[in-house]
Amino acid sequence: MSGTVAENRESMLPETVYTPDPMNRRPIAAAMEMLRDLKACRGLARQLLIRNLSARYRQTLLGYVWAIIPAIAMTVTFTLLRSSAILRLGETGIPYSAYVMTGTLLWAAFDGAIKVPLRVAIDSIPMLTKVNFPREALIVAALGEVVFDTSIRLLLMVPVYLWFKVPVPGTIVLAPLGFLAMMGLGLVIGVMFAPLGVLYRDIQKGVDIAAAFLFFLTPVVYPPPESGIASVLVGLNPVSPLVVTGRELLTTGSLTQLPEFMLVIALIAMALPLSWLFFRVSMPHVIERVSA
Amino acid sequence: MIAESRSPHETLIQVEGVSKKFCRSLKHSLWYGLLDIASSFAGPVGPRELRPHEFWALDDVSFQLRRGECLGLVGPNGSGKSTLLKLVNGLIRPDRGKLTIRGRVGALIELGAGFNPILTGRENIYNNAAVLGMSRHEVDQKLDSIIDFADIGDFIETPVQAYSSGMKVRLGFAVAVHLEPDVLIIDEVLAVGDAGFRSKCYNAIAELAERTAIIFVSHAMSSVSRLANEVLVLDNGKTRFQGSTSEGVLEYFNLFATPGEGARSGNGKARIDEIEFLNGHDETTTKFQYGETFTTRLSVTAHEDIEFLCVDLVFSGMGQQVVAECNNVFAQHPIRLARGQTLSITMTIEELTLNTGCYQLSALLLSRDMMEHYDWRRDFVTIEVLAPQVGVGGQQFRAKWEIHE
Repeated sequence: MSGTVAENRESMLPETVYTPDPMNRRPIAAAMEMLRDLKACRGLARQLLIRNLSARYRQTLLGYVWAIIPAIAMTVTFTLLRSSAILRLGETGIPYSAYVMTGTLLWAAFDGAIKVPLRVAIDSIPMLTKVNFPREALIVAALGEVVFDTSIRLLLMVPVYLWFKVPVPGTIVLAPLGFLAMMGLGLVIGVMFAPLGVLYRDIQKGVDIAAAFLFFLTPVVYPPPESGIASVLVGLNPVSPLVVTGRELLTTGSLTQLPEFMLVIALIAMALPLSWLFFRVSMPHVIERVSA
Repeated sequence: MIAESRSPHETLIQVEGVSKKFCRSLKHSLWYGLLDIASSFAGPVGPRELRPHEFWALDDVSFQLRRGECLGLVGPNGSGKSTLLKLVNGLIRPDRGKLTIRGRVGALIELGAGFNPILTGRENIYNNAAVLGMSRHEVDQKLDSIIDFADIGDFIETPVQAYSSGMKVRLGFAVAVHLEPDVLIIDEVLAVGDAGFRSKCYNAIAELAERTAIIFVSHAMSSVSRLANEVLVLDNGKTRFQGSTSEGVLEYFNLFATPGEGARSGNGKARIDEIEFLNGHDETTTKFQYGETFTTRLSVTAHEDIEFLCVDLVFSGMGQQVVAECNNVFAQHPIRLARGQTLSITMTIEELTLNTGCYQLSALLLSRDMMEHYDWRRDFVTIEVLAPQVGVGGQQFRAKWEIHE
């Protein structure tokens, strides 16, 4: 690329115009612009991902083992709570530990997709206020981190199949869909809150609490309740069908909430571009407010 | 001194009537940020007026810059220089006006952006370069040259957190100069690093200057005059002056000049009654051209007998440092005064060889040994000296030049 630019300096220079209005109001042109920027940010996103991953565990002894420890801890904790009858939970169909493990893995993908973009954006404030680079790169790098962590954690499924004797269903080939849906929904929220989180630090704290609350409204460590207010809340929670279906794709293979799952996927497909648009338009405003 | 453009070059930066608001209170600023986001979605943004706690950090600034030109951007702290750089860099958007930037923008502002402290220098070259917009392939090709320029030896394999601040700057600068930008923004970064590296930086920038449009921000007027071929003086967000480097530097110094504020002291044995300055055309003025005749006329009255009066005129630069002096003791020219006598004294400096700049003058009446101060009018007037060039010293001597083959 550098060669051709050097040869045709006069004619090939890209022109950038900055006006008070950050939003391109012609929808098709705006969409093209967004896709172009997404394509342009790949190299940087890759580099940021390499940087974040190689730096993350360099100052640790256990290294990438830390990616799977929380899921193991969660599974052990809830298995103990249930076996000692502190928690009274309904039937889960598959061994409870396998139930918690699959739910936790799926939930971690969702949780990461919400929180990592926010964390990466806040960590990058010094860079954001000094260097002009495609802001999307931060999100793509954050997503890469979540995908990477999720892939490592999937190793935990091996003991689930071997130890707990859960049969491997044919739907396992579709299992990535469950994880992608979890990440997609997480991203809708994470991408929208990233700029706001840079502006107001309340956002990060609020998102943490909201995610913890949502965790208990989602059938991650317990089966969906059959009746009562809890069943209504869990039923309205868009994360529920994703966790339920994701788990079923990994274990039983019989899909009980397929229509709800498809509906949420359709919602994600519509909401994600809007969330991204919000991110693009608000970033310059946000950067202006945090730069000293 | 001024870089000659080799051919008519295209305009790379066009800034048209640009204004930018800022908010003094963080609380309001954050809230306005939220409102601005909302209004971006509500509809096209109309003319923006000031809200409470806001002010114009930049008010109706326009200029354009071609390839091969360098604009020196100067002004007091808080005059809007950094805001203008951020706008050109595309970090923030104008509230009014329009900026058109052609080509790749490189900024020597935040050196080492994207560095991660626990990764090695070599790894961080890739991080920094990617953030600045270089492809991995491009970095692979320039890696040796970058490491060579940084010249930090084996430290290249050491985590950056172990670097001295100077080493970080070296590595950051080394990456930045390899960006091959069309537009280059430089903000006071040359102040860091040791003398050897600084001269290396200047040479690198001088080389880039031929094929880039540069905006250079500095408080060091000697650096500005060295790099810039045009100066824009900002004051309170407004363009105070735009034009030649010498006049711009003068205008900048004028912003800090506080005429007539000087204190007067002394024991009163002799007093300066009147003092005035004349240029080469015998006109009373405070503005002078480099090389012209500078005449001081003063009248002095003694209140006691004085055997040998010393009349001393002292020129100070803007940093309060004394740059030149003229007195009759040094010239071995006695002045004797009887009690009650008034003398008219004319002091003619044939050639005023001060560099371009503003100078504060102090006039003193002293005893011969200069221990006893009769009258001391400190910094009582500011004069301007305009030369076709701006030098680094207080004076630019006029020499006779002979060149032999």
